[in-house]
Amino acid sequence: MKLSEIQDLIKFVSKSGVSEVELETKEIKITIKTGKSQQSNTTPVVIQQPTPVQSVPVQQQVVQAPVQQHVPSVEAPKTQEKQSSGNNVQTSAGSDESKYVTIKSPMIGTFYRSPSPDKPPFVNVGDEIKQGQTVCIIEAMKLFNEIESDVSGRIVKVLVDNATPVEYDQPLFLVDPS
Amino acid sequence: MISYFDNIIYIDELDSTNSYATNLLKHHKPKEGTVIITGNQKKGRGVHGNQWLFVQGYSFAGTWILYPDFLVLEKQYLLYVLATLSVYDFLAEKIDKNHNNLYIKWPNDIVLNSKKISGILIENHIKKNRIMSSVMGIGINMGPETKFKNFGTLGKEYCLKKSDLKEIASNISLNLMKYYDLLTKKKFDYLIDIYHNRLLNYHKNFEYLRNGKHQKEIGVNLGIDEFGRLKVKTGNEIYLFSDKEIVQIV
Repeated sequence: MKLSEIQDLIKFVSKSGVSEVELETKEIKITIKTGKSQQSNTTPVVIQQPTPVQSVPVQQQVVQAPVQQHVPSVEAPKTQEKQSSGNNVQTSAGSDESKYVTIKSPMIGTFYRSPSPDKPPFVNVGDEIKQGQTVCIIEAMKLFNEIESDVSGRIVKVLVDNATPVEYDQPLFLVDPS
Repeated sequence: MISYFDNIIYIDELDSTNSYATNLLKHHKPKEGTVIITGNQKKGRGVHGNQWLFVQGYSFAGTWILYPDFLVLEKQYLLYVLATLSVYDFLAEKIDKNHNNLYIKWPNDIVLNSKKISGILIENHIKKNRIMSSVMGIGINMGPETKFKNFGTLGKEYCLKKSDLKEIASNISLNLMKYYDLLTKKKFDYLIDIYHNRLLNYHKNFEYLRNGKHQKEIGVNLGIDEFGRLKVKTGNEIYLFSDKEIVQIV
């Protein structure tokens, strides 16, 4: 078995989502463990919300508008490299959160995941989305704004609950663009 | 002066003029100011999945398509200002030239004798923080009396034929053209002044409920601020409300 074939196998296994694969031929025995089931090895990655730019002016007296702050902290398990038995094969499996990007709210308003309450969400976790695809609605002053994604990729996480207030620049979706 | 508000698309029957316009925009870019009207809207949409009543022969439903990509997002509320003014002026000319009984109820309803006769549903498409298109649905109930509380009509004498619907669309288009022209020239304060002149309870006391509260309060309607929110003076304090934070009692 060629080295390149082993490397391809490792890549395949790491993307497959399984935690362990054993392969035995006449000349070689390989065990590849991705570590996905090894919770003790997970490293929480916190994605911080950038400071929202407040476009609400400071008015002369009391400002009613209750500004609900959301600071979503996203914990995604980061799989560690695990050493396999036998042939000392290593695999870097799973996700690298630094490559994730966020789709942010372009305005203050209310976040809606579907076009109307009786319709399914525009996108769900795991969906592949394309640049230009509508991912949500932000309502402000009874104006309903369909928000288009600037990126293509897979939705990893929805960061805001349906029908809740959002701030300007608040992350709404975590997307794996790869 | 913009002169391209002349495309009227009439469709005998459809689900919703807003939905039709939105679908149209997926594959085409109709001329700015194109309006879709119908003789029978079967599933008129209001906000949050509510249905908008359409009575064949007595209701008008029209959706205008605009491309206000010059407007920064924080000023998008001006779209409801110009839509509401356009309908208001049409109705005032038709039924209330002295402006005694017809008002704009913030943010975008029109009431006649305290009953709603027109509603507006605006749906924008946002790309890279720009309004690529605005689908502006306008519904008017012209009669007969409905079973819905607080829903007004213009009376039984109106029975709208296809030619009437086109004429209404044409008249509202002329108004929209005028106000949209002011918007493109960034005459925001002027637009807001006109809006305030037609606003229900402007500089008057009115009753309201805060979101989630059951106790009525009384305040003075001070009009809208630079973000389209309603300014209300209660006691010695001024409060700013977005549309979800206040219920005006009419």
